[in-house]
Order: sequence, then C-alpha cells, then structure tokens
Amino acid sequence: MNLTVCFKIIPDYEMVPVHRWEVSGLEPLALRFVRQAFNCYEESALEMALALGETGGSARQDSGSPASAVLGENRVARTALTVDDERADLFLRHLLAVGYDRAVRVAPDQDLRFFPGAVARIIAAAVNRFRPQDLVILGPRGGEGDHCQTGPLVAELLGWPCLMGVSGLALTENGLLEVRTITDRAHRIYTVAPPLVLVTGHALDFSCLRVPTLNQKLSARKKPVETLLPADLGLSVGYLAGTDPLPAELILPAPKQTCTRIEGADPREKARNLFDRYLKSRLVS
Amino acid sequence: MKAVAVIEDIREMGAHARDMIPLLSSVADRLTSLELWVFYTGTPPEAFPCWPVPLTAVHRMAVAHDPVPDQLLDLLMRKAAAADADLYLFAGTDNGNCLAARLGFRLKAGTCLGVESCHMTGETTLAAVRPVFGSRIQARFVLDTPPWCLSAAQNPGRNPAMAEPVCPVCDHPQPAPCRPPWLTSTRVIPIETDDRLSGADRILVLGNGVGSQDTLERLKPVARALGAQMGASRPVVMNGWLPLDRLVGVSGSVTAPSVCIVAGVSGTGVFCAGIRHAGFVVAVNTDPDAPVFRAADVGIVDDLVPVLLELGRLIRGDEPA
Repeated sequence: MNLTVCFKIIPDYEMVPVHRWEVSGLEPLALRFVRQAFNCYEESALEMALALGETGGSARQDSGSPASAVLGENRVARTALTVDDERADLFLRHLLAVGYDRAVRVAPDQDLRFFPGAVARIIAAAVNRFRPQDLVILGPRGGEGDHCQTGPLVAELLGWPCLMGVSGLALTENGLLEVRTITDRAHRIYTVAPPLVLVTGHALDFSCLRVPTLNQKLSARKKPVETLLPADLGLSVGYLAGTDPLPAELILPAPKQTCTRIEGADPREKARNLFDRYLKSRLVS
Repeated sequence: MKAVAVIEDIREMGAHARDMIPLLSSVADRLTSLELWVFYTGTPPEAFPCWPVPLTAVHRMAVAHDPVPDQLLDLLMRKAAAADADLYLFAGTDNGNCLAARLGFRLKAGTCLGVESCHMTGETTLAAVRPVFGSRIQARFVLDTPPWCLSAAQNPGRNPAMAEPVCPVCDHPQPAPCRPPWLTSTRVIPIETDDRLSGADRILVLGNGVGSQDTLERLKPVARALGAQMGASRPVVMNGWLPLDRLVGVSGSVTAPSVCIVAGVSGTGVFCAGIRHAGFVVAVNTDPDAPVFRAADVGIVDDLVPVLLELGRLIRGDEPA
C-alpha cells in the first residue's frame, strides 16, 4: 500500500488577538509573523496514515525504524506532501521522524492560497510522479483559503473516486481497504479497492499527531526533504491560468458589539449579577 | 437566469433547502427558472420545500441506498449537460461540497463553496461571499460568466414549509446507478440523534475549559435548569466528552438560540460562526483576552464551574449551600 498524505501548515489563528486582525489587499497583516501549525484535519490525516497497518506500533516508535516496518504484505509506504515554501521543512522533518518514508515539498513560484485548482493540479502531478500510489489523503479545508475543493479536485484530475468525512482506515486481509466515515447521523463503513482519494472529517481516534522521540529526531536528520518545482512535475508557468477565481476583496467582520463585563467579588456573586441583571427576564419569557 | 437546486440527501431536504434559500432569494429577481433535482431512495417524495420563487420543475432521481458521490456524479453530469443551467446550488455538507466541486470541474464552472451570501454584479457576473482564514475573515469572490456551482453555508432557523408542487414532476427514466466496481460493500450504523441543537431556543456550550468529562457531567443539571440544549466546541467532541451531534460551529451546527451561554470556549473563528445568529450571548472564560468575548453581549472572567453551578442554583431557586 503506497499512500500520500497532503498537508498544509497554516498560521495559528488563535495566537492573534481579535483586535489585531486587519486587512490590506488580500493579506491579513496580523498573520505575517504568526507561528505556523498543522491544519487540525490534516494532522488527523497524517496520524491516521501512520496508524494504518501498524501491528502495535511500539517497536517503530521506540527504534526510529522506517514506517514501512509493518505487516508483510500489508507494508505501507507513506509520503508526506506539501505545496509551500521552506517554512514547511520543519514540519516535514517532524513527519520523517515519526515514521513517514518520504517528505516532499513542492515550492510554488506564486502565492497559491486562493488557488485550490492549481494546488490540486500540483498534487495530482506529484502523485502521478510517485506512482504507483493507492491512496491520497487530504483534509477538507487545507489552507488559509478554506476552499473545501482540493480533495475532490485531486480526485477529478486523477480520475479516482473520492470519499469524504473519513474518520478511520484499516487494511483487510484480502488487500482491500476499510474506510470509516462519520457524520452526526451515522457511521459508514466502506470496503473499497484502491486507488482512492480520501478527505478526512472528524477523526475522533486520530486527533493529534504523535511526537517523535529524540532517537527518531536524530535519525530523521539524515533523511532528505525532497524539494520540487512545479516545472519538475511537468507543469508550465501557465498552470494557474483560468483555474480559480481570485477574491476581489477581504472583509473583516465587525465584532458583535462591546461585551459588558460582569464584575463581582467571587464567581458566585458574578453569577448572581448575571442572573439578576440579564438572564432572569430572558428566562421567564 | 436558470438555476438548479440539488438535494443529494432526501432525509435532509428541509435543512438543505433552508440553507440554500437565502442565496436564491438574493438572485430571485434574475431567475427565469428554478428546478429542483432530488436524489432519493425508496418511495419517491411527493412534497417539496417552498422556495422564494415558484419551482418550474422537479426532477426525481432514484438512487441506490446511501450512495457515494461518485454514484451521483455521472447522472448529475448528464442532467447538467441537458439542462444547461447558469447556477447549480448544493448544500454545504461533505457530499454536497464534493459534488459541487467535481461538477464545477467537469462543467468548467466558477465554483465557490460554503457561500454565505451572493448577488449579481452585472449581467453575467456573480459575487459570492464566504469565510476564509479560519472564518476570521470573509472574502468576496467575483465569478465571471456562468455556469456557477455553489454550495451554501449553514443557515440556522426553521425549515421551509413543505408542499406538493404545482409544477411538472419528472422522474428520471434511467435505472438507479449500481454500485461502482471499486466499492465492495457499504455498512451503515445509524447514530441516535436529534435536531434539537440547531433549533434550540437556549443552549449551553462547553469548551475545553471544562477540563474533564466528570466536570461536564456535573454541569448537565445546569443545562436542564436553563431549559437549554448542551453544545460543545471541537476539543470537547474530539475528547469524546459529548457526541458529534453536539458540535457547534462551521463543521457542526450553526445555531440561533435566544439565549446562548458559552463557557470555557476560547472562541475560534469557526466556532463563533456557529453562535453568530444567537440573540443574547454570555461568555465565561478565565482568559480576559479570549476572542469569545468579542462575540458575546456580556462576559464573566472567572472559573466556569462555580459560575455555572451557582447559576443553576439560582434558576432552580435552591437555598445557598
């Protein structure tokens, strides 16, 4: 089983105080120097792929041996792929340390935050380069643009089927894949034959990516982060043309209003003030 | 302008129509035709949502039980090729987004998903507004020349009334698409759920600040005293302290209660989008700079547990401990 997990690092929006958000052209100024983090859905995708085919995982985690040390025929070779600048290399090294066999960064020559079609073309071209590949796994809303389109578009470009809302994966004995999806109304368990594009949802069992040990980190330092240009994938500079509409403007929503702070000597007094002044009348009606 | 509203999950027809109606209302004066395309399993539906403009046709398409998007796409593509509509509108669910993106790709359409509002900016240009940067900011996209494929953001409130249509109802003559060769089997395990959160008049939303499931259990009587439904932010659901149908936010329920108490929630953009339509919002958090206070009418900076327990006691009229 050869799989590629696509991820995007994004600014940690929670680090930015609300009043610091401002907009200049298509750039929220406050984000320029903000710490980067894995997108939470793609963090789930990355962990889900690591867990696929593990016999127990402890040997691999402790020794820093390759991720492919799994069940004989069910060997899983994992590639982590991102379309980003060199800021992503630190995250790719983390992924090599926790068990990814290969870490690849495609360095675009343009800002692609609002080009899900262009990103999908790069991913599809990379997956074609990595062939044979059985699975491509992505998050539902990867980059800052929150497009929700990249996974389905990769499926279209590769001519593969696509399942959404994926919460878990398992290999079956006959070489098929069991894909679990979840909505608030049902669990669905699909038995499928790859190749396939999977878009993660609320993966409750894979909320956090594992942390590498010191040995794993040291071992990963010897492994390369491969860097490709779109041209290396056969994509010309015109690959963006006509793929996506650009935003005409960014709009900073106004806060609801000034929040009135309820004071009091202790939590109980604050609760009483809240009840007496604001809630009592509203709860009666 | 000719528009098509696509209902891919008949069980959610009312809610999906509710989400789409604001977008259709904003271009209603340009609509010359509005068709409803409904995929269904089992008995063909007879009643359909009431829309801002009268339907010109309803197309019913029988499909296999619990189809995956790939089973609907080819049929959808054939229908779209014949219909030659300007606007295809989907619900902003996982499968609705998947269908909108893939149909948009095949039709070479201007595509925008999770759209909160739209309006025509010229004879053949459509502006669509949707959240970006983790729902902290909105972006306005201008889509040139139809066709356009949009999916609608969640719109809280009541589902539209259902009625038997006065327009022609067409049944798709082709047999239901069979299971694709790559899909060996599908097993569905229903989750007991209800719609009480999205339609609730009062909600108590707990976030990661609640700290543990034990603490959360201690606070359930407070919700009962308030007559409120319990909601949760994503960390609470991911910890398994409350089920997924309690999730509030862009990827859960967008709510519109008259009273909303939000405790121990930092207030991410995707969360605040889920309480934006609430009437009166109370935020409780130990961090005075938590973004949730910007979405609240009143706030308490303190530990949520004693505040909520005291609030529950006051509502019940119990004697002080």
